[in-house]
Amino acid sequence: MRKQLQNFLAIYLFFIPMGCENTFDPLQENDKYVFTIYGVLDVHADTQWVRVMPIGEALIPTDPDPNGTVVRLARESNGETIALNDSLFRFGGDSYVWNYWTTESLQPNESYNITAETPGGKQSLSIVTLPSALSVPEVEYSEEYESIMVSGHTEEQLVLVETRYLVQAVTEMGCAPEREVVISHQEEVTNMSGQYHLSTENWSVIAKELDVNAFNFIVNRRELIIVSAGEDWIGLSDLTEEEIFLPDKLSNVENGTGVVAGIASRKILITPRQEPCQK
Amino acid sequence: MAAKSIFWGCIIFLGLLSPAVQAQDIVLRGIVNDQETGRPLEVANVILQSIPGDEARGTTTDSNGLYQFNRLEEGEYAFIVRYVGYVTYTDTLVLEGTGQNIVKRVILERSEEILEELTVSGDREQDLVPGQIQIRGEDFGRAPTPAGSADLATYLQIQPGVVATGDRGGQLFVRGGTPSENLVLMDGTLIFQPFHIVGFFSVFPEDVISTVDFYAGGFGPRYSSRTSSVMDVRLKNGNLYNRSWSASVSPFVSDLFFESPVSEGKSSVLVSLRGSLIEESSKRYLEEQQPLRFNSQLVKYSSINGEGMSCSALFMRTYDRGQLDFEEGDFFKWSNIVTGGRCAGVSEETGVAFMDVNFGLSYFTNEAGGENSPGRFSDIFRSHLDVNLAQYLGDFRLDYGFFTNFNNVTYDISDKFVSVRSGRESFLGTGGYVSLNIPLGRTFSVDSGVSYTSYLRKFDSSLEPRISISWQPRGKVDEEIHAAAGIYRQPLVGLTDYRDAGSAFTAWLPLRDPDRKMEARHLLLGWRQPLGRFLRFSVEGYYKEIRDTPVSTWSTIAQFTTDLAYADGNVQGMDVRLDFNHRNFYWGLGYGYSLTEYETAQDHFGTWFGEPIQRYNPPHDRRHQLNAQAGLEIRNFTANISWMYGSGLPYTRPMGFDSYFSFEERPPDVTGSYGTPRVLLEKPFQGKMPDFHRLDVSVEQAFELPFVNLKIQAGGINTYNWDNLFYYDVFNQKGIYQLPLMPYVSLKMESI
Repeated sequence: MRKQLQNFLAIYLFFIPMGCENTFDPLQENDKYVFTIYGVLDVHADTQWVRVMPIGEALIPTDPDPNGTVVRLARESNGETIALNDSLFRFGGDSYVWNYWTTESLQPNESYNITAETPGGKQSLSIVTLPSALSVPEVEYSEEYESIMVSGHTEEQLVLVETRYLVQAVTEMGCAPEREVVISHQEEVTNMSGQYHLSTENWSVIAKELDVNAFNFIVNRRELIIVSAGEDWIGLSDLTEEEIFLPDKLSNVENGTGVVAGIASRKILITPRQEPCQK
Repeated sequence: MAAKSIFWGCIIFLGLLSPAVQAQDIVLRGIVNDQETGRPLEVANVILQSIPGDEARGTTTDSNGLYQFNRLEEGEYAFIVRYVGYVTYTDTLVLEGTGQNIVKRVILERSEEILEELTVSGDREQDLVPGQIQIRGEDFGRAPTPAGSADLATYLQIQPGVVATGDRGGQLFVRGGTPSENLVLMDGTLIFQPFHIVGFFSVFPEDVISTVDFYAGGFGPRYSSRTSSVMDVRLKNGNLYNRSWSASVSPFVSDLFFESPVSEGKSSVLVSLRGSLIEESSKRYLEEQQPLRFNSQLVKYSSINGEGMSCSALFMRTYDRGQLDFEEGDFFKWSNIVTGGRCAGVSEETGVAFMDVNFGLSYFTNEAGGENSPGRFSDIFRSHLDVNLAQYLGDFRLDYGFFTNFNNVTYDISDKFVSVRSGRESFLGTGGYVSLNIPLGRTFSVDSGVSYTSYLRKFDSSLEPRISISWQPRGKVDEEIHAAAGIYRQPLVGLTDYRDAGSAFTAWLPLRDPDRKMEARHLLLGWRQPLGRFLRFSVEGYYKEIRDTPVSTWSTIAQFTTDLAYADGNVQGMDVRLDFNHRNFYWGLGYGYSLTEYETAQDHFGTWFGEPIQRYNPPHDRRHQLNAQAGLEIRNFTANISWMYGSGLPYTRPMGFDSYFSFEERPPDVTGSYGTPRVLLEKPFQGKMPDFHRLDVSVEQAFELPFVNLKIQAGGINTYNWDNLFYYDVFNQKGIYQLPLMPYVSLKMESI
């Protein structure tokens, strides 16, 4: 009996050393992506903004350390290079991002390199070609039916044509809080030999968005946004949602993820801001 | 139509053949029962010796306790029945006349003297079919269970080829199959989810179990509608003569068991109640509360008449609720309601040796989501009527039967699977099976059969041929080389999102695509061999082809909805066991090797990987598994130790994370938007979680007190406190771990 008890204890003691140190690294070693870079370079913008973040080890990064990242913008034709300034942005809770900016004016039909570099020399690079300048279009509008007629000229493709309204619903209870209604006209624009034209009425769409009858709303501001882009504009129409999310499918960043696009945008204030109704 | 014709042709041919074969001989048959409970005794030795003379014939009882001698001549015979642990039964029979069926029922009394000597079970030789493991309730204790009563769930997990992804969730994978491909029968009635949310426990504590036939593959045509494994659980009958009870409590669970004769010697009732305590006890002595709760209730009535015809009725209800990730994540709830009845016995009047009629109702509901607001649910109701018959055609044994079942499913899983929304569907399945055992000499036998199911135009009918071959070179039942092959199909599938292991929700529904049929083809080859008196060795290799098994689509999006895709694949592996039993000491070693590969084609694979079809190892592909147990029993003291090792399971390993802007509607404003969080993945399931291993130990001392027997057990789960990762939550970047060191003490009181 004693021998059997000894055997049993020996078996138990044999297994005890199995409980040694336990380490687990859930992340795969990443030598493919260094930075994620998103944004647009706009021919007509006063300030250029791009998002540059190191590929994170957390889904929502909470550590606001820029890790010594240096972001540079270089004009390919003459090699002129500037360092972009960094700004820390917080989006609720502890989540943060680093955006980089410059007020340097950019030239149409030029290519620019955006380079993000770690202190250790690892780089991600995006090459962006800007489209030609976009002339300010002619705009006519009428408050009746919120009709708008736009005509202009560009050699590039139009990637965004939309109107933005700051509106308030008017009901028996008075004026509702102000809301922005954005209406895309991408499908309505006609374009022949660089001459584009848009004619539209927006009252019914606004009423539907506000869930009110006919003209029971007031407009406090009207804007028109037109954006053109060059041939390297990312086309999304043929892609599924899964494909759009694939990091390598939509990217013009070497050694990284993301997209930086060149655009020319015009924001036209059709009617200036009015004080909202307080009744 | 051709399948149907073939099947019914076989039935008619065999039906015509049987009276002709049997007409001229005396046939002696009967059932051997345990005297106390009426339970049929399997593998009892039955010997018939002519008087005078020394010509003897012998046979063993089958799983129904049935024996039969054919082609007997008139005369006087000594009739002897032996069974380990029971008093040997002897009688003298005088057989007269020809063409008679004589029924001789045998009731064996337990032998206290012999039982005292038999301190370790496992001495009975078993004539198992390929792929089969027979488990008795008393075997369960070999795996330490943190409760007063051992449990089937814990015991199954020490079998090679059985993979539990964690110590909670109630999901068991057998030889590469998924949990919904396991057929679990309780006295012939199906139970959809027999495992509790705490992985050590099932609805089958040792007190209620008579035997479990566990088929890890290659099972015969009697079992249909599942493609992976069968657990055919036979519950105990209540004691026909004595009232007894037991009650136990541990930090995990409390049990109450009661059995009593209703009419002495004729009928009895058995009641088992079980409820978890882990939610309450973990608050007091663990660092983290375990929000897991379950309970189950079982009542069984059984009766037996003088000819050995036994009938039983049962009712079971179970409830489980809890979170697998204790801090956040979905709440899972499920409940089973099972009721059924069964009558079985032999008759002198017919050529049918044994008949078993079984009916039952099974209802299973499960839901997942918020604690009080389920995001998805699935209910399934099944009623069935089965008739199983056994008949001897000379030396051949014919098993056949008929079944019909009605199934109704209701589900709403729109928050999980995008293409499968919600609905209610019903279908009827009806069919039959036939299986013929052909002995070829004294050492070789072939079991071949076929199962046929018609779904009345809801799905294509299914003809599933199966065959098994065994060779016992020296005529010994424990020394055998065997092989089996078969086709298995499953009309109802259980959908679970296995992208992460943290799901215990299963939606039962028919495959939506009429061109697809979930199917597995099994092939196995095994060898069992005793090595000396005390050591037994077995090895079984297997290969399975899998078709149209539902899987989740792969995605890099941090979202909880997914779409449904299908995979084909194969599983190959080998299970090896070595068991030592000598007097009051035993040890066992089990090793399982398994390689599961799926192949799936999904729409965006071409874009993602450049190849439209991908092969991968699913998240339950445990490549190596090693189990070791040892036990000691000295008078009223027992000690058990169990060590389990499993190589790491595949999981999807992220390379990193970023925030994504789509450009879909307009150029992004990086100053006004955070973007959409994204996980950067290469191929899913390319990573390996850390290896799993755990050492459990228990010691128990029994005390005989004046009015009760008291058993005190002390033990520990995960005694060297290893951090076993249950699963890794990619989106929240958090490891969910299994139980840390969990010491426990349990008390069990039993009536004398």
